[in-house]
Amino acid sequence: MKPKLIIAWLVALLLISPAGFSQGNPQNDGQKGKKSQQDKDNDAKKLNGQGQQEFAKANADFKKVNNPSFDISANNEVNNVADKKNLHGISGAPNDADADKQDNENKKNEKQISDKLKAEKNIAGASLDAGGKGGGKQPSASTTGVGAAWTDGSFWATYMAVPTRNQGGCGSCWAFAACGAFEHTYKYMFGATLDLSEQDVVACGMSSCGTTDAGSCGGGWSDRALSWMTCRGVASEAAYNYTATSGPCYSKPVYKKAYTWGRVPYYDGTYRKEWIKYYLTIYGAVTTYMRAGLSTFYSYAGGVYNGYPNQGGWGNIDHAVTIVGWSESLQAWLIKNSWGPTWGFNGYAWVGYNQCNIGYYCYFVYPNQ
Amino acid sequence: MMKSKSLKWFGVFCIYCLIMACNVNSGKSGVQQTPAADTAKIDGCKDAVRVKLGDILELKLNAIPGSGYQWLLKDSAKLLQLLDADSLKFSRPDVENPAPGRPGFQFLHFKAIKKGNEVLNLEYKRTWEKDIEDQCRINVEVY
Repeated sequence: MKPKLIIAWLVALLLISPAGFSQGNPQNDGQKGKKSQQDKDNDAKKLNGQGQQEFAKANADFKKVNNPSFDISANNEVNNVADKKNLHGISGAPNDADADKQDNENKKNEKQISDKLKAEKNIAGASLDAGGKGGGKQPSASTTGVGAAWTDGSFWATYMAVPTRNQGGCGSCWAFAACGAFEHTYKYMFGATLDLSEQDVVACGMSSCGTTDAGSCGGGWSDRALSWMTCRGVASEAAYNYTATSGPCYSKPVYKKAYTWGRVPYYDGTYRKEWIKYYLTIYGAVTTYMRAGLSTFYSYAGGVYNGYPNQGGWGNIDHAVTIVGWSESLQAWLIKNSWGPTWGFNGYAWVGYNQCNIGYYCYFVYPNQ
Repeated sequence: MMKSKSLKWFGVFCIYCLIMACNVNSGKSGVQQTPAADTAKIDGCKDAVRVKLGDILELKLNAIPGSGYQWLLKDSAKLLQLLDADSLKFSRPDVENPAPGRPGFQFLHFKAIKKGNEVLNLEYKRTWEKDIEDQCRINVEVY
């Protein structure tokens, strides 16, 4: 009798275990798991004076959020945010085997781009012809984490001094992502801040010098926008103001033109994110498509967004943004959105590496100076 | 002997109670249960709608999922109860590989809980901005 009784009580205990009552479903619509209070307390204990200061700022920001659907916790990476340059992230080149899989178009352009880069500016630790010399080794990501460093003004002044834009109620995210990549890359390479006309791209943009419409307020493609910028160029915001409408197209003087553009190697696997980091190292920004129509993403106001694990891959996207950095310690991309400066933190967000289908479609642009 | 037999039956009773408790709880933990009531489907912002008491009203409104905008109830309704705690339910455009930024639809579900007339006020806006992009006013009659 006794063994049966023990089994009965074990079954009873199993049934009342917390897993049986779990709330939310990460595969559903962006519910995020929360750390226990004990874990949070342990994280907070790891902070030094500077870390506590940074975390207090993040907490203050967090309190401004109405009914937050996410939580924040201390990250000891904020104990040392002195090395601002590393906040952007520097990545080694991916290996030989993966280099062979790059888009042919990119390959054709590499030598030219490399020569042009060398001639114009030597970007630390990253020239395109360094690719494929890894001897089959796994690419190393020597990135420093960021934590709550977005509160640090000098980081933004040095690397991110390109104002956040607002697409309004028009489905023109794809044009904003393309212009954002161009502006950030330009700032990264040449140090100057541009303001390109998204309206020019939305109203006039055509891929391959005029064969296919790039898009409208009813959606569009960042790659086609970049193709247009390379073929024809883009007007300045001053010359062609944003009106959040699909048209009509007015002919305005070309302000800036791209030298070339291309797709970041896109196949699935271990190295996909390493390629994105590699291109970020060289260009400073790439565009990406993603899934954003999620209540938790809408209400994001800080911390790392881990509310929608990748699913559905290629087809499950509804938005376009610009990736402008990453953090290994946060395991997240730093993205620039086009929902105005009051969304997220200054219009930016940290989104986990394997979240929101980010990274399946990424494009870089190399601007002419 | 009697004591251990009682304990055995007590254990079986506990297991039964726990299984029942889990079944009840699973309904509250995100598992969508099919509503027994009929559903009145409304496509777009209509001037007036009639709903039977106890029925579900489904509103399908134009929205762009990747824009940050969503339809929000301006004033709390007295005759209708908003069913989804998370009302941000978008449908994907009915095409293969839709372009990013492409418009879709947002669905809102209400249950008619009281007879009478009232105006349902909805605003299409971003929660972090004051501006309202669009509005929808529907005269609802619950009969």
